Amino acid sequence: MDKEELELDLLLHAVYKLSGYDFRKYMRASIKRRVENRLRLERIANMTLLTERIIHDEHMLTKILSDFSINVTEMFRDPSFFQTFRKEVVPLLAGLPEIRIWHAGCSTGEEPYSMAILMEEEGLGAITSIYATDMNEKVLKKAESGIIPLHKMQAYTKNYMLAGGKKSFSEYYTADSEAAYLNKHLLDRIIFAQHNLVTDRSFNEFHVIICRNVLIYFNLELQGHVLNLFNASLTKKGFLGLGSKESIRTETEMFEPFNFKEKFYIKK
Amino acid sequence: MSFKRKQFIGLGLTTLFLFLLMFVILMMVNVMRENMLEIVQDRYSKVNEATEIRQEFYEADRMLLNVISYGEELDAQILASSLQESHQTIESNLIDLERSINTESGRGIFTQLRASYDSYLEMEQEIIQLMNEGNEAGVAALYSNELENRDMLLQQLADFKDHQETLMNDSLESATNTYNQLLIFIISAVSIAIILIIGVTIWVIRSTSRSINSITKGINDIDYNELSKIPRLEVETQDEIGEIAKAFNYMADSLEDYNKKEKRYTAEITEQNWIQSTSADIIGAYSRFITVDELASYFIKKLTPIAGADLGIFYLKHENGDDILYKQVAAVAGERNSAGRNAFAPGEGLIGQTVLDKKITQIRDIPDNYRMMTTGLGEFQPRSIVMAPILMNDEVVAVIELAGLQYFTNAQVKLIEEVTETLGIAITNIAGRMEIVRLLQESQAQTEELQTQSEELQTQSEELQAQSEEMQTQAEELRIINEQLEERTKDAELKSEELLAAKEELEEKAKELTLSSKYKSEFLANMSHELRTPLNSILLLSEMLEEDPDQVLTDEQKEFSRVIHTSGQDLLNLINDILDLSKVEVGKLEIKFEEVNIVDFADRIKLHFAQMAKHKGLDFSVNSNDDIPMLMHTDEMRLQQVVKNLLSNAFKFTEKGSVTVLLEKAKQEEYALLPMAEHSTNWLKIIISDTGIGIAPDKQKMIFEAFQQADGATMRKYGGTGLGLSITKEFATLLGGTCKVERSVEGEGSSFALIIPSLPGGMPATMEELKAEEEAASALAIENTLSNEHVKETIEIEEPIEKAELTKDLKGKTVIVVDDDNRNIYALKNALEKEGMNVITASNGLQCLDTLMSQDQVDIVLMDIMMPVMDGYETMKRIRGLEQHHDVPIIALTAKAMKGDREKCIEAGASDYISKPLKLDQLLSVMRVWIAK
Repeated sequence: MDKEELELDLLLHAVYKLSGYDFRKYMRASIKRRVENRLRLERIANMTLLTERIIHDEHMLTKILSDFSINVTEMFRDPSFFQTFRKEVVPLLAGLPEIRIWHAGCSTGEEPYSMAILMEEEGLGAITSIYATDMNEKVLKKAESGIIPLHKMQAYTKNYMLAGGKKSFSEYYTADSEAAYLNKHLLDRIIFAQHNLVTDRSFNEFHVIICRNVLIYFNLELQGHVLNLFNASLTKKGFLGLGSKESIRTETEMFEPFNFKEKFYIKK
Repeated sequence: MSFKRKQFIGLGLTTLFLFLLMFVILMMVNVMRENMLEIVQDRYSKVNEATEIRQEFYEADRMLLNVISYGEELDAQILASSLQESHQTIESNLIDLERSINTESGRGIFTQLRASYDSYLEMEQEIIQLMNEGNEAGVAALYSNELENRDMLLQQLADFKDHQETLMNDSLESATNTYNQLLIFIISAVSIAIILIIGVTIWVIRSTSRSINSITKGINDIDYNELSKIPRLEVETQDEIGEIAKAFNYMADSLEDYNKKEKRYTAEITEQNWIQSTSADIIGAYSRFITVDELASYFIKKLTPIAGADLGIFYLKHENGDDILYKQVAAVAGERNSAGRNAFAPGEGLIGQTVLDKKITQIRDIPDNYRMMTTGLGEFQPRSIVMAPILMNDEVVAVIELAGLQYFTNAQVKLIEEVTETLGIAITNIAGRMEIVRLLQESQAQTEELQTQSEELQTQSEELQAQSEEMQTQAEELRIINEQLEERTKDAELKSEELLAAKEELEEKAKELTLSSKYKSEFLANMSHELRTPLNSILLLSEMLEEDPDQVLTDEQKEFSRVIHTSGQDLLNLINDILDLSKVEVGKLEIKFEEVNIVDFADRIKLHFAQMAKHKGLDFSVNSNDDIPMLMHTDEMRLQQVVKNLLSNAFKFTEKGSVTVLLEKAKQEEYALLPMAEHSTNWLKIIISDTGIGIAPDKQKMIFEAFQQADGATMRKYGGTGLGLSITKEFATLLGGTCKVERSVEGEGSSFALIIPSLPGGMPATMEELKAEEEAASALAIENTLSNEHVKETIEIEEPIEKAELTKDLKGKTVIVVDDDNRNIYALKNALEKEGMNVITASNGLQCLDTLMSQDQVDIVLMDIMMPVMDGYETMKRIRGLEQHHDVPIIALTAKAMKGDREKCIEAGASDYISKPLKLDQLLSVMRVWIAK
């Protein structure tokens, strides 16, 4: 057995036992790179030593946990995804008395914000509940604040326009010299909660689940597990939206493509 | 006998019979005719001659008698001649008769007759002789002697005649008999002929129809479903029917032959079809399989029973470098590991040979020691084995082997050939597809891996950036702390000096302040004077002009004058209001609290507005409740101003109905929350109600703001500056009370309530104190931030933000406002300058471009779309094409809410858009976003 693999196993086991966060079924290569990065930054010679540090130094545990949690997101990320959602999915949701949308792995909340704006513009804001979950409480806090660094707003504005925004993007925030603040009534539409896709179970039935660029960090087994979780959490004919580079790779009878290009699947 | 001859015989006999019949009839008719002729000619003439003889005889006899009896003297000569003549006639007749008598009895009678006649003639001769002798007596005696003779002659004549008549009757009878005979003969002849004809006809028909019937039966006996055995006709006769039977038999032969052939062909076609459909069935399912093993398993399981085999094995080619091995991947009727060998190399054994031969191999004679096929009961030896290579591009990709307990039929072997022909392609396709799927999954995994890496990199770069920013901040902070420490030591040194200086400065400032306040008041006073003086002349002159004492102006001009006058009046009011407001704002409005008699106050108000109410045709009343405080300590002038303002508004916005003023004692809960609540218990509430246009609920708060009216439309209809209520509110506050909308319904009317306290001691100092305290506190806060530098380190995140606020704000940024509407320009310029921005204005696109060219530093452009000369779209396109400032953020200001409008903005190069009417907050937010680097 590869000694490095063993070290990594031990490290991940330690992390799981200490924190309850289970990264053992994450993509090995990615996890390894993150650990190696940490080793470099901390100038630690090998993983075993890092494991030792993790066990004895809670600060290091926090650091490695935040290393493992990758939080890359944008408002209206891949605008065509939202465009498609607006044009193809929303008409099918419009007749419902209430719409529940789950953003699994919402990171700093930009996608739930986008969804709130989109549903508002489609006139469905009042009947839509958006659940945004992430396993990382730190980023959830950020998400809950509705504060967006000002320097990101120009890109977001462009995304908003490309995603078929119907109004001025500026109607949804106020800005001061440092940051933009999402309008409170939009934030109020979003329920933020901590939820770990690896260990936690279904908590409601949703019409739409958006889980973008999350599955790519999981190995196939874990992906299958999460897809089962989504299947259990979706209504019949509910929609699942994945990231642009993702696809359902495990053999599954649960979903069929609705719009393959934009990675929308529909529950059978 | 031929059918034709039979016909001839039949018809010939019939004709012959007819001829015979006719001949007989003709003969009979001839006999009858002869009889008739005999009767008519022979018998009849004999009777006639007999009759004639008798006639002559009678004549001669009478003459003789006459001579004898009457004695007549007759010449004997004459008598003799006449008797001679008569004798001659009788003689000729007798000769005729003699000649024609042909019967025996006739001749007897005739002989007697001849003898009698001859005796008569002798008598006659004797008479004549006697007479000639004159012996008359002898004559008579003779005569009388001869009488008897004569009678006998007559008798004989009569007998002859009777005889002849009897003969005639006999002939007649004979003719009748002949006729009857003929009749009988004809009837019998016709009968016989008919019988004969019928007989012949029956014979002909019989013999013909029997043959035809036998043929018909023979044809009817054919089973058309079973043409292989057609019953033959027995050829009995040599006639045409016999020919037909022969032809039929010949036809039956060829039909049977044809049928046999057809059966053979059908069997072949059926076999072909079976092969085709079975192979199509097997081949059709290939596309369902996504792995070769599945296909192999399906194929062998399907083919084995269909091909009549009991055991089947599928070997698939496995290449491992140069090593080629055919491995068993599927089997039927033999457990996977026990049916045959698991793998073989090309050339190894017979099956290996098949690979090399690339041909289907069939073995029929199985050696006795050949591998057995097992069942639950025992083992069997297969009878036949087929090994088929599966080719693709002349390369054996797989081999199948089938063993059966029966011999394989040709069709089964053909089927095996047929299906193995295309299996190669299917296997290759599926293998290719599997490879594609594998590659696809690999590429998918790689894509996701790339995405993961890119996100990780992004995170890392963000982290790095955050770290570097943090480090920069920390360095900056350290530097600042350092500087500040240095400064602090200096400060400490300088503090005492500075304190002194500050004190002096403060004193100086206090003086300056007093001075500047004075200046300001003076300036305001001057201003108002300076403004009022020309305004007054305008008012005066325009009024005069309007009156037009000389009657020289047109109506239109008069109307213009009136407008000038009214506008001037409005302006004057506005100036007054502004003056008041500014006074209030700088706290320079003096409030003199003194005793006010409220009843008198109410009367004055009533008096003041009675005229206006009458003029507008409104009901106006001022009512006081009994419990109102008679005396109030307040500033009467300001109170009056407030009430007047409210009443003016009420009258202004009321077209019909009433305006009422109600004075009452304010209740404790109404003023409990006001700051003066604890300084007075004596509060007055004045309610001014109208039945005017009312105010919408959402506008009720706004109307107290400066320059606000319920909406723009109101402004246009009713005029006014919108300052009235705000001044009212300010005054009410100055008096220690408040002014609010009591109740207002759009279209029904409003009531405003003014609540003021009675403050005998004047306005307490508390309010001013409060303000001072607040200022002090904020000063202290600044002080604190300076002194508590250390604390900041622990709250490092928040601090830089606050700092940045000072540096990164809109302050000092240059904005170009492009709009053709001066009101917008003015409003935007004001608002943005308040933010400390440099505002450059342009009234159209062209000007904007010029400005951009001439400016080095432009941070942002606010661009109206609908403009003269060059519109917003064109301008933005041009800006994007400029060398300089082509990347300046441009915020499009769109008045239209149309969807296409926004898209056009973006297309033209706008960075963002914002729709009119502009909300300052939103505008500033957008500008911050786009100015941020």
